Amino acid sequence: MSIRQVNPEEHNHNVSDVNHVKEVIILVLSIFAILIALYWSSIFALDSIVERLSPEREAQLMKYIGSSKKLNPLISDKKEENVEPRLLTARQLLNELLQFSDLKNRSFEVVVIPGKDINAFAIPGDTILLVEELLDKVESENELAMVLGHELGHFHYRHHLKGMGRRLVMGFFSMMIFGDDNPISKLFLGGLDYTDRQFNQAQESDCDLFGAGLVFKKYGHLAGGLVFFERLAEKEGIMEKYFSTHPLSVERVDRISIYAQENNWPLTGELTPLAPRKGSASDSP
Amino acid sequence: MEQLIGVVVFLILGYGFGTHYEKKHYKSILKRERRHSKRPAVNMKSVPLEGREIESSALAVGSTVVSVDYFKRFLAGLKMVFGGRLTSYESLLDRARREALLRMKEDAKDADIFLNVRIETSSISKGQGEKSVGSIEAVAYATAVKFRNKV
Amino acid sequence: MEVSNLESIPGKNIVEYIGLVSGSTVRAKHIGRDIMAGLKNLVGGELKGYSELLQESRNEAMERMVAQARELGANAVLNVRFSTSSVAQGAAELYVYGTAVRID
Repeated sequence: MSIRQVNPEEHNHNVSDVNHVKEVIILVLSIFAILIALYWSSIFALDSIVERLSPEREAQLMKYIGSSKKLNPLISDKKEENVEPRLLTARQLLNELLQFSDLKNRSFEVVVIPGKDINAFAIPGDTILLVEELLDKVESENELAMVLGHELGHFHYRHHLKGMGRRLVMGFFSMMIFGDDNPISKLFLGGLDYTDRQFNQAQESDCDLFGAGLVFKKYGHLAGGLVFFERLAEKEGIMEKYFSTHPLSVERVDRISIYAQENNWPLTGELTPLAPRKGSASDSP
Repeated sequence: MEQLIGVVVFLILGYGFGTHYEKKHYKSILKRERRHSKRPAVNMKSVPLEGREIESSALAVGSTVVSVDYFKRFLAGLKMVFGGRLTSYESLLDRARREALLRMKEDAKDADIFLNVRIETSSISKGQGEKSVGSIEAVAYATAVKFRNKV
Repeated sequence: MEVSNLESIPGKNIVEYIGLVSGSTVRAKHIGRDIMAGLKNLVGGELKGYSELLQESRNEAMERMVAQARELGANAVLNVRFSTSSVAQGAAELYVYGTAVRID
């Protein structure tokens, strides 16, 4: 009886002979495909749910999720002294525009915030923020009406709800599948950000058309409304096309013009100057 | 966007350095196994003496801790979604155990045979979070027996 | 190929010892089973998904060990031992090792 030691064999049974790089590529592609399918189906489901929400239900939801007027630090209850006259104009203009849309039963706040960029925001809780610089730069009431109409579009289409719902759902899926510390989940949520941006561009476009509709109903034409975007267009480049949440201003102008032509809305007309209005914000014409 | 680039860079680094180091390690393992092949390791408790006398016996232990590179960890993370064999960890465990065995043999330089070999593995440092493995420890221990006269 | 966890096969003689052979696999179950197992943690009982996973792993590890023994010319593996360890949550490694011998 003898004892001999095995010589190490060339073929190792304990290690499978696979090409790891190929495996990674195949797995990544299949997971990608599954996630895209999940994403689109949940968006579809979400959007249909949100659109069917009644305004009362939505108000209840926003109280829970979004910032309510009571909690918003930018809005104070006490009477404002020395309200900037252009802000007064903006508030009255907003009320006038509201009459032409299905949002007329809600009351909105308009607040000016300091800043050097030409921008406006719609935030949950029926509040519109205008950056100081925007009020400085608009040259006619029509322009301001276009901006306000656009922001009203976000409320009309319930973009805030959709956005929040989407984040929740995708975060949930990602946690379930990958766990919350897997680098793959970070990759996935990062990729979501990118697609969100593309989707946001579509949303912004919808708001443009909504705003254009309101402007037409008030003034009978769209003159002045496009000037705002034409001014923005001068400053934009390729970064904005892919990475901004708004579409390129040139494209916005084009889209609004085409929409106006389809509806036979004139693009020229008399501009109303941005004159300070007399009286308080609660006056209606 | 930056995270994606970071992950890809780590993947490439991990793959490059990982495969290089793995090949080097396997070469070293094969060489040393050949060198030690005259001194078998068996997990029997005794072997027939056949005229030989036992001079001495002692416990020999060898252990090692081996870790995976980022690429293998990433691949295993992906695989765990679908289930199946985690091929990227197989080489990790194989290397760890063979290395432990070799270190055990080197621990007892003049033994002729190793009896009752036992090998234990456990996972050390789970790595980032609980879902990924950080490193594996393998311990091999046996009774190293030296014969007085060889047949 | 005979496999035993005794030091010898009852009734047979050992002709030659060939050396240590081993087989190992690392396997993971897919997320569906993971989620079910998580739920089972509430009520307790056998985690069928994981039991199956380990069964399969054991079979595969045995096959690998036997294949290695066969390649070296053995026809039995003695003193077989199993060792299970967890390498990640939901993934388990199974290791089998024994001494390959030739019996008459």
